[in-house]
Amino acid sequence: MNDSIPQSLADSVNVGLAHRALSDRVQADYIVMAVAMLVWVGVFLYLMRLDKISKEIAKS
Amino acid sequence: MKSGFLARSLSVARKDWQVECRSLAGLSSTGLFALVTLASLSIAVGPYAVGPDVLAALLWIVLLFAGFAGLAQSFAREYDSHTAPHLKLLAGPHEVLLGKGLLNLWLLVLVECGVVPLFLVLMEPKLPHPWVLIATLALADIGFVACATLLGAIVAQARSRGALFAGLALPVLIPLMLSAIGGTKAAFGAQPDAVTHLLTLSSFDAVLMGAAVLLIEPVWNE
Amino acid sequence: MMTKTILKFGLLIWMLVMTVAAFLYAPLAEKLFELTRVIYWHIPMSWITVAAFGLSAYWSLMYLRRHDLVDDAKAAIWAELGLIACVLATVSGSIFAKGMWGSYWNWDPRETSIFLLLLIYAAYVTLRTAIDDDERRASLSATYAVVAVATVPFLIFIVPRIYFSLHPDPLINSKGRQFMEYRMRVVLYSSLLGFMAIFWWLYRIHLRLALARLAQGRAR
Repeated sequence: MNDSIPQSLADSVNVGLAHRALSDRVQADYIVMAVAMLVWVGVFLYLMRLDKISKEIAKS
Repeated sequence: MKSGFLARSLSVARKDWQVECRSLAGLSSTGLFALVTLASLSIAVGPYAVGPDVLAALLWIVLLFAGFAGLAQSFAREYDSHTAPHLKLLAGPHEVLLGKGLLNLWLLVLVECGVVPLFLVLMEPKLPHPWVLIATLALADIGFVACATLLGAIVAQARSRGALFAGLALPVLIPLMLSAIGGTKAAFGAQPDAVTHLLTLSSFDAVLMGAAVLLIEPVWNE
Repeated sequence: MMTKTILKFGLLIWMLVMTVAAFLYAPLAEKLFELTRVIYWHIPMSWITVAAFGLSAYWSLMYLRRHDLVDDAKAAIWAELGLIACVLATVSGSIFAKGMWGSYWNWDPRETSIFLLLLIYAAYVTLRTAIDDDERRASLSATYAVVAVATVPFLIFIVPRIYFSLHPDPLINSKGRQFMEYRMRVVLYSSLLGFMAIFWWLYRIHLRLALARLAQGRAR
């Protein structure tokens, strides 16, 4: 196990992942995916708000 | 008509040269700036052996920033002393561009005549191909001056000129700087191929001169 | 009105499905592992950066021809949106570079050229803040945009050819498309479409505000 300490992210991807169980990797995937989707929802709510405000300003 | 165009451009350049001679403000401040930069480089780097790659880059950083300090002034002076409307009556945009450009080129060459030999003495790079260095300097100067004259005309009408000028000019001039450094490396014997860099420089010169000629009108007449 | 709202929510669902597909449908590329997913955000951003730059230069040129302040507003909006896309492309590219080559930034020619685009955008926006008069700001910044775009061919074609690059070939390379598997391409293109829609939406919002501002200026 301790024969290879990853020096960079590239190493940890190449070396570290080999030691990690597949289920761990899949779980990490789901977490990142959920965060990405949450960010999307946030961005869209913000855009909808901008859209509404800009319409009100344009009217007045 | 043709001779009238040239004569008017030259008279613009001559007028600016006379103003410059009277005060020496631009030339002395640019020269001093270059000298100070060069001296600080020499003090910082002096004790270490520096390869020709780094020396080529250092030379161009000194020249570019000295140029930024000096070349922005040509149009700014007209706006500061409120002489721009008079100049607009006397000469068209292209005559002003050519006149200011020629004077800027002359000032830059004068500064380089001082700075480059001093650089060679202080930093002592090997110089197997001096003509490559001269050709690189000449070609890079033309593009630099074309860009700086046009951008100087833009910046002269804006606030916080000094900082803005370097910010506007640097991204436009990076391709020129990279090929000039390449040509200088070749002159220092660190790279075999000088021709590619000189060709890139001359095509870049053509693009910048074309842009300056086409775009000076909306800037100057604004 | 109603259809527009439906379209907007459709866009949200589209992007959510794209995100799920990027993780679950598209396979991981060889040697890239989980870094593969950065591609679906990085490539659309860099394309939009270049496209926004082109649009900004186009409207600048139109302003120089017609002297219509609406054209200037459009050029400014595309420059601002391009700046956002450029920052996102730079950051995502930097993360990719850290994973692939072990360092966030090492002046690879591609990195140099995107950084210069960033500088040009920033200089354009800064120039606009430094001039008060509307028409003068319009013609001076339009001039700068055109000068800057004239140097872009050197950044894209000449600099990468002189200097060695680690960057993967662009999607459409001279050797045909060996780089991408079919499912990866599907996700990439749907991501690109979604991002284009988002930027178009942002453009409409900005334009609405800019037109209101111009109308107000005229009324005064």
